[in-house]
Amino acid sequence: MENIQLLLQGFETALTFQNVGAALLGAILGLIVGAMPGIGSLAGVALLLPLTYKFNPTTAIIMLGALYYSNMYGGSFSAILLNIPGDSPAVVTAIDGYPMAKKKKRPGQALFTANMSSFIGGTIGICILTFTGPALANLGLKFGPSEMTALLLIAMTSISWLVGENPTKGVIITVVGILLASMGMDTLSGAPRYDFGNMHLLGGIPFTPFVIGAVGFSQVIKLINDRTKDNGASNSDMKLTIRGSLLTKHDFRRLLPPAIRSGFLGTFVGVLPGAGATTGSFLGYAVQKKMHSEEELGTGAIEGIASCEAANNAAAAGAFAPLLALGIPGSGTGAVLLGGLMMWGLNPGPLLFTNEPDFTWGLIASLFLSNILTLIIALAVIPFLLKILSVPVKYMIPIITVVCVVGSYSSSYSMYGVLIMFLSGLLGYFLSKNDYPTAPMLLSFVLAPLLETNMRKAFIISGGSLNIFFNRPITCVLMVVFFAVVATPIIKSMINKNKNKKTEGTN
Amino acid sequence: MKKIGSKQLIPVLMAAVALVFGLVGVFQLGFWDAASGPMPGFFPSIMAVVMFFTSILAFAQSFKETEKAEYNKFELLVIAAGAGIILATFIIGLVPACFVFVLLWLRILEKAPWKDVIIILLVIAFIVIGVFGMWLGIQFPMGLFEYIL
Repeated sequence: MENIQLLLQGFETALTFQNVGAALLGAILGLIVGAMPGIGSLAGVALLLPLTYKFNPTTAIIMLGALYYSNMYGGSFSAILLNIPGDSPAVVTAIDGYPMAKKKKRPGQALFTANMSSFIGGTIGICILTFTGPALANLGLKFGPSEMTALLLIAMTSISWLVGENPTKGVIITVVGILLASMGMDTLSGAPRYDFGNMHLLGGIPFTPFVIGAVGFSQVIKLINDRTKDNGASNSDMKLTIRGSLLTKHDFRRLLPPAIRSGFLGTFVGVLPGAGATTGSFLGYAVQKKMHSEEELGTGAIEGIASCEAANNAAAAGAFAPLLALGIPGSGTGAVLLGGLMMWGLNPGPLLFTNEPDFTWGLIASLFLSNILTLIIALAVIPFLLKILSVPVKYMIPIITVVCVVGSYSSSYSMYGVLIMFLSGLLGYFLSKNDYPTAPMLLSFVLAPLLETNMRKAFIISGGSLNIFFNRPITCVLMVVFFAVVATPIIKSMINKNKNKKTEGTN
Repeated sequence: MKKIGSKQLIPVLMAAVALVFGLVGVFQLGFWDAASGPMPGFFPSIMAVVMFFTSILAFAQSFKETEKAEYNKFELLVIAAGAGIILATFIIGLVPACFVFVLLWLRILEKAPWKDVIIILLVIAFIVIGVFGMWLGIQFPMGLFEYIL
């Protein structure tokens, strides 16, 4: 009850004209920056941080919260409409978002699903943060390397659903992602690894240019075959209005369960140090694969978009728990936010909730506020976003190429980024021409460094013994879940084979 | 005898890459240390072994695939355009290189009317110069002009 009272006081602080205006401005700018491929939430928040200098501390922090939050919404826009994920969590959104927009010709509904799921996930995340913030942060601290390894192994199982018809090719492409991610500096020892004497490779392969190339540029290369098609005419049956983009009751019924489930799951993942929104969205998708979906995931299913979008926004909210209650940023974006909070005289830590209740609860209230404002703005811009799809393909090719080049340069501030984008585009093109799915490569590229670091740390702690994965209670439970996730389809197929044999025998 | 195409070349290349990663991982980076546990080559070496054997399997399977990968000359044009932008950036800078690419692409390849070309150039100018350059403050490379200025 005390928390609700404090939250209401926070709303009193947040709901002044100036603060609502700042939150609105933050939401709009964050949405635009989030939608720009190559910028992402980290660079977005860092780039927009100076804008808050002009306000008083409370307004500045409210704007900062809105910027951070709306950034999470924006990443899905380019993923759904252009198949170019704006940031790493949106990689999963593109798997179902783009087919729903293109093949099913329901781009408005795909965007609506992403926005609504983001809102639901975010609201769940902020509610949990309101009531259990400090306790949740302490739970997050119980997650050591072995627990994180087990959790990441579960997240890695999502890859197996994307390997397609040929598992051999799926395994190869997954390992390609892992090996590419291992290039650069070794995260534990700091020693150069697979840099082959190249200064640029010492820094590793930057994720954003890599994903822009492998997904976006390779898409442009293939798109040239459709350049003679009049996109404007073929999309004329699409409804370019908010009403035409609304979800049906049936769509809502499909959206709600995965969004709510991923909301809880994502918040929990967001609390874990280093896990972040990307792991949250992968895990949300992996869990959804185990649940009932009306359409197969990967073919443009509402459940697919809802599960990952809700999880990544909930994770963004969950990340505030360790940030505020313990002063530990869970991600790079969290670190920038922490810097912003400290700049305004706040010292995040166990005493923040008692020493600075106005600031803290004002910030949490502003997250609620910015979640609502961002949803309204995101829904209002759907008709304008949909106009992108009515641009003829022959004109889209040079535009997307330029966005790929500029976006990859902006994320790395170097032509090396553009070169990586170009080469990964070629790799993605040749692989897809030869029936290798590219999605597993991107997923393993993101998760492998986290998995490797935590696995090696766990081995170092245990002196090389595997027992560490079964001695600790949380790890043990997670490992059981992991083995269950892996074994279920194998056992199911064996049972089905036996059944088929029996029925063949009786016939 | 079946002709060797990209479906066979890719697994061979992958096996070669796996071999390099595996050998560098084990012999240069180190696999396991009795005192400090897994070394930097531990994880990638294991993955390289997995990739090597699956690549061999994929190579064998590739001969059973009936469909050949088909490449279109226009697809290669986009690749050439991408390479052209990168090369031109070192001479005239990134933003002019993008504008020249769009102009040439639309006028020569697509035979687009000037009105459409100008609209698209304005949209690109808004995104590149307005949003990325002016608002987000990204300093784009200026090529040789940087040295002249």
